[in-house]
Amino acid sequence: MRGDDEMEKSDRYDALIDRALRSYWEPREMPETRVVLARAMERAREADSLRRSVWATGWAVAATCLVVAVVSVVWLLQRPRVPETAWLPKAPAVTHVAGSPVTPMANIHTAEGKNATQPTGEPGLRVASAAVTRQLPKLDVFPTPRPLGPQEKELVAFAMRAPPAARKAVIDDQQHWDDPIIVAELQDPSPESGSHQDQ
Amino acid sequence: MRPEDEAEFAGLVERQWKFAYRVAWAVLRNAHDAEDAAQEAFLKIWRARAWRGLRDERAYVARIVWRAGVDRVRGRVAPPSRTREGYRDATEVMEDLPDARLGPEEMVAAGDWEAAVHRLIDSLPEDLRQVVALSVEMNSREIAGAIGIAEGTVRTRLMRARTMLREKMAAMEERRYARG
Repeated sequence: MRGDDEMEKSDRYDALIDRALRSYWEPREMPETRVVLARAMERAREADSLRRSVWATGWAVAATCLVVAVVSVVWLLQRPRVPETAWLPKAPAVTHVAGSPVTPMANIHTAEGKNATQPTGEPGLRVASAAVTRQLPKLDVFPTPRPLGPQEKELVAFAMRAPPAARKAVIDDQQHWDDPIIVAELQDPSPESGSHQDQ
Repeated sequence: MRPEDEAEFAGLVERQWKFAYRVAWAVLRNAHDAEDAAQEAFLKIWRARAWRGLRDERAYVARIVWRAGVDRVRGRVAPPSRTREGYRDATEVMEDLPDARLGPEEMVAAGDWEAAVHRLIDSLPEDLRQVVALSVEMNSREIAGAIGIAEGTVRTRLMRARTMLREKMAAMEERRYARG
């Protein structure tokens, strides 16, 4: 009995809900279709013109970029060329003072060194702060000249102090250093001849 | 655009305008916004040239209108407080006044069950309210397609919403009888 009442009440509520739902909105007069269509077309046209202007702007920007790129390439290809020069390190120039025993290659090595701007202590060598602006002459001397070694220095000192005859002998010896060495034949008496002598 | 295209589109608008408006109103609960959303949806359909060869015209329109309505809800900006700036006209004054309408219980007492149920529907959680509001125009499958949720979820929400409404209605009726 109670269950029937509940069911009846529930059905009544459902019917009330359904009825209320049918009117659960603000009734609105439907605008005339032509008006809706006209509005839609107008807005579509606006959107189209906006899209077209965006595309036009994009194309203009792209064309400008292309022209700039082409002009840049042409300018790079046609610009006056600087004559090619050998690469030189941006090191301080080295001037060679007359009388210095240091050879040109030694100068270059000194200039490339880390302490090129500092005095090296060797006599006659001066390091300037200006950068090298001209190409150093290529030497056609082989082997590359180098400072005298200790033995060579002693030889020079000996030549300065030695008597003229000895000096001349040294000079002659230096001039003929590449003469072929001639080894005289050994004059070894044979044992047979010795035994013959013994007899 | 060819004249026959315009005629076809006009036919679509004529057939589905009311439905579209009601779907939009279920989301927005405002006549002006609902009209704008419906219009926007038809504009999208126009732009997409998608009104020809539709398998389910209603479902398609419902989906587009629903999206337009949801986008409008998300884009809504809370109105600025007018307490310092002052009111521009009487409408703004009325908007700021507390709701002067009768509550559901007063409406039941006055015998206006329909208005009372409207207020109860308004008080439902938004996900339940929208499904209930759409259930007048669409079945569970169509609602699921329009909102983008599972059909089972739609049915569950409908059942929960109706249960909540029945419970509230029973409570209101009991209080009414208790008062005599």
